[in-house]
Amino acid sequence: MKLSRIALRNIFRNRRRSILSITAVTVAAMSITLLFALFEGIRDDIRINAWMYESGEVRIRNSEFDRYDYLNPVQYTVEDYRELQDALLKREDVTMVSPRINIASAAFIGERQISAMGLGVDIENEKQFMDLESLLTAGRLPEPGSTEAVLAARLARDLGVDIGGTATFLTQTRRRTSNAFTVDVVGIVRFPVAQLDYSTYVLPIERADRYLLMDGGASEMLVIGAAADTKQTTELAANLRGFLDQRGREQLSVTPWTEIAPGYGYIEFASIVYDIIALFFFFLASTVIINTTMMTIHERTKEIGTLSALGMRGRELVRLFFTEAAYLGFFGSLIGVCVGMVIVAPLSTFGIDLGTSIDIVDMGMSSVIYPQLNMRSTVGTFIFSFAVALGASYFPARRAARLKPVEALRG
Amino acid sequence: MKTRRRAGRTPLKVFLILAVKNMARYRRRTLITASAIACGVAVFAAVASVMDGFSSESDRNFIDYETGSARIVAPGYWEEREQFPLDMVVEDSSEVIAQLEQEGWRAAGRTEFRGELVIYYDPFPEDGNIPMAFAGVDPDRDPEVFRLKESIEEGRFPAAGEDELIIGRWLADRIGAEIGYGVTIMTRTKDGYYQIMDLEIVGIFNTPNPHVNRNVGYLPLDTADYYLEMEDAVTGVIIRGDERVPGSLDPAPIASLMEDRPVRVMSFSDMNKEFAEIMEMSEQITSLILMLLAVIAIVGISNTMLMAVLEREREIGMLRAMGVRNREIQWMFFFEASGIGFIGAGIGVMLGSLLMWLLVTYGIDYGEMLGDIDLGYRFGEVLYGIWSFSALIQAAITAVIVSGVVSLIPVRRMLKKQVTDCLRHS
Amino acid sequence: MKQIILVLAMMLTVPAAWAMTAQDIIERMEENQTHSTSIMEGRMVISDRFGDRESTYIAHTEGAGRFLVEFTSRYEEGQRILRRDDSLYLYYPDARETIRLQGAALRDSLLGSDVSYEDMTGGRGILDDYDAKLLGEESVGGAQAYMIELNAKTAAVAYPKQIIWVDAEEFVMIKGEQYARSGRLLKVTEVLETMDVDGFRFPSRIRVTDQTRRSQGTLMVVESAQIGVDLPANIFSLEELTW
Repeated sequence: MKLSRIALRNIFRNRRRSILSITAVTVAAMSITLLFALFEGIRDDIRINAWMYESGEVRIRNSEFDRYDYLNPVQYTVEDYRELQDALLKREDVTMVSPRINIASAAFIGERQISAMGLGVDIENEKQFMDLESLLTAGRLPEPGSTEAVLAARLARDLGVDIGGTATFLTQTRRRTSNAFTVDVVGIVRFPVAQLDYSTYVLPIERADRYLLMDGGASEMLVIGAAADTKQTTELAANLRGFLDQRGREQLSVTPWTEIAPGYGYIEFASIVYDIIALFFFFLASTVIINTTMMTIHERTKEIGTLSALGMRGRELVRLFFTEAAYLGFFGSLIGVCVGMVIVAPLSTFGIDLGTSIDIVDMGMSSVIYPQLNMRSTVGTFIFSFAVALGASYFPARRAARLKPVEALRG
Repeated sequence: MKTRRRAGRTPLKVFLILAVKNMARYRRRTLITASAIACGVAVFAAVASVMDGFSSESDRNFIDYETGSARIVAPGYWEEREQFPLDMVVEDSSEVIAQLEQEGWRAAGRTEFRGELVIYYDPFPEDGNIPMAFAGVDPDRDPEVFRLKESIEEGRFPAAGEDELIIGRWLADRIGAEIGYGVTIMTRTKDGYYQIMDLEIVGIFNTPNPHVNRNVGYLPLDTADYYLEMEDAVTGVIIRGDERVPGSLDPAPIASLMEDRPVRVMSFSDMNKEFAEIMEMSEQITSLILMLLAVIAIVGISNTMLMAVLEREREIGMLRAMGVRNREIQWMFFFEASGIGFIGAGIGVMLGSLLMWLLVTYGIDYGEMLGDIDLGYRFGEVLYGIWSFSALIQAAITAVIVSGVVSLIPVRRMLKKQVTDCLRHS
Repeated sequence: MKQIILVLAMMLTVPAAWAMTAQDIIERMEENQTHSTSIMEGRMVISDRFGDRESTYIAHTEGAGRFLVEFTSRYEEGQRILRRDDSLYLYYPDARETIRLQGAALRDSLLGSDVSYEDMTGGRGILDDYDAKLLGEESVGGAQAYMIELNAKTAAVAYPKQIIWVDAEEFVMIKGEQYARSGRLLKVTEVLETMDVDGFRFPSRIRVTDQTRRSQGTLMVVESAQIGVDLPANIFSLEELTW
């Protein structure tokens, strides 16, 4: 009889034991899958927040603006943003473009002066780009071209206005003159990014253009590439650089998000902490698998004695046990990863609500995390669990095989 | 009937002894099971320690660089602090600090104000004026309270009475500042007069807080006091306690000390109210991770325990055949399992303590893993654990209970079977 | 003959001048500058590192306390600044409500210039806020001038100390220096030209340079002025501000 057949038969004969062994591997694999999916969800969340709200995957600005950005030199703009937007969208490697007019402004409440950051955006476009609708906590979005605006919750609180009220902001125009304008508050929003959540208000870009005398210029354009993959960002930036030069827009700078978004550093850091935690998980999971396997073999010492008394050779014994462990490990890992995937699937759609009303604004993390599956959490985990299960069974199997039949039988 | 049963009842003590004997006899099995438990307990505690360390790291950074353990401010100042009002102040700061120091507190005054940093072409690459925040810091006392001084990368801390300034690395790089360059601060005095200070940059710091590195400059407190005409008033007196867990200082004694003064004493949590929910959320993530870990550990423990019991079906059959009562068999196994759990948990606690000690003392240095990435955030390059005795004890107790309870499940099932069936099992 | 006249003139003017106190000089100067009502057209040129920019305006005043500026330049058309006693209101056509500046905000720079809102729109009389001390006389740009030190009496003003030079003949300010509390020079105001309308002489071309910023300065020019004209009723009212 072939060894593998015997192994399979052994597994089915002692179902209870097999189930226990498989459970150990399954739970270990499942937990690690969930852990990685959770981590990936957090990482992805930070990245998406950075892309959507802060920097895009790459950001296009007037290079002079970058140079003097601490002085907020609004006169350095991305000229004729509509033309550039259309041209960019025609490119294969670009999926989304968001032109923005940033309005450094102040509101006056009694003796207090409250700084606020206006964001003039194409409302229709931002429904996709930054999923503007999902940010609303009350009210509705401004109508394109209207005098309406939505305010970040904290700004609304500081200004003491609510939906239906108005707010007036004083700012500087592109011509470096001052201007003030009044917006009708039609909604309250919450941003998952620190800088935005404290003092931002969003208004239609057409109005912002008018108020700031932008003349068709935008402060910046955020671009998201078709690959939507961090690894492609550098390439995208380089391609766009060439593209802008070709169109005679050398004065514009192209900056990948990795150089701007504070969240990027946090992702890098978090990855390390997560790897450290994962290491602990792996370690514990390994001990569980090892322990279970050891127990199995310990329990079967007598059986080993019988088998060797029947003339089964040491190496064959090792192979028999090893094959059994391989089956168990294989199924355990497979089931574990599958169960993990089944759990993650709905969570990746509905999210895990971390139950706080505000977000980890400092790190640009949202309060609802959507776990994400990737190669590491599925295939990687499978390979790992399988390997540990195999490795764990090898040494006890070899030890058992070395036992003298008499000793083993006595055990 | 009643009496016979009572006479036939074996005292629990006997089963206790039996359990211990069994554990000793099946040493190998005991060892495997115990090691499963020990690993579960130790790893769980270690991860809890690292995660707590991770979150207390940012707490500690808050305390070390921004909030202190507690703070005395004028009533209403905290709510308006973003406006940097100079008319809501703690008067007679020297007296307040002397009073605090007498009671053994470490305290330092700070005066925070807003102004424009004016730089000139040559030595700077160009002219410019940058609106930012400034703080007067006490060169002697501030290092006792904050770690700003330690974060100086280049140059030195400003000296008392001197017209000196230190700025953050980010800002220095941005404006092209170097040690020895002269700058001008334009601001208003406490009364609102225009004021100009000509200061020399004597140091460049790099704190874990990017906001501070970008937007705050520090000058000697007495210099700020002189130019702003504060007359010994400060915008805040910051207190540093010796609390072990960051943020846990009880401000009550300070409050009673300040009873007669028109001031407000704020605890760490008062100051971080806005961050309380953030912390709650990172705790949520922590508990999610720990929960997953607990699942693995519990499955590991119950697996080995289940197997250890299942293996002994024949033994149970024999005991029953010998007339040992079901309840007694249950007790015997429960004691044995709990015993193994206890041994395992004990080893786990020792192992866990060792791991924690390593984590607390040496930490995990991930600087290597980082490569060239500049985190620029509230984290150092070594992740330290913190002593988390509660995690150790919780894990140990859970392990013992899980071991005991889990052992009962198969035992009960076997007891429902026919004795002969049990015996047949090999 | 000529010399005699000169000597006579000196004999007449100098003792007279010495007899004047700093208060007198400032009062004379303010009489020149303060008009029952006036309409002035002017422009302001702000120079900074990013280049020059010009704003034109029409200013209406009534006494020392009321002041309304309406901008006429292309990018600021219709914007108004109203000073009524101690309050300053900003009106912008795009805003439905006026912005009231109070306290510290009054000292913010007007349109990013070297001039603050307060500087631009004046306010109460100098002698209400400052103690004046005559430091002596000196020649400024060929003209004889009184040099007067002003020290703030109250914290309600931005400059703790100013030194002004007042033309000894015309009683018009020809130079001013504003100091910070530390005694450091903050701003220099140079009067480049003066204007005489109906016997009132006042500065018509002024350059203000912020000394801390080393800016190229802000130039303020009065192109034309009418004094004692009838102003529309309620021109200084808040309701009228937003027509």
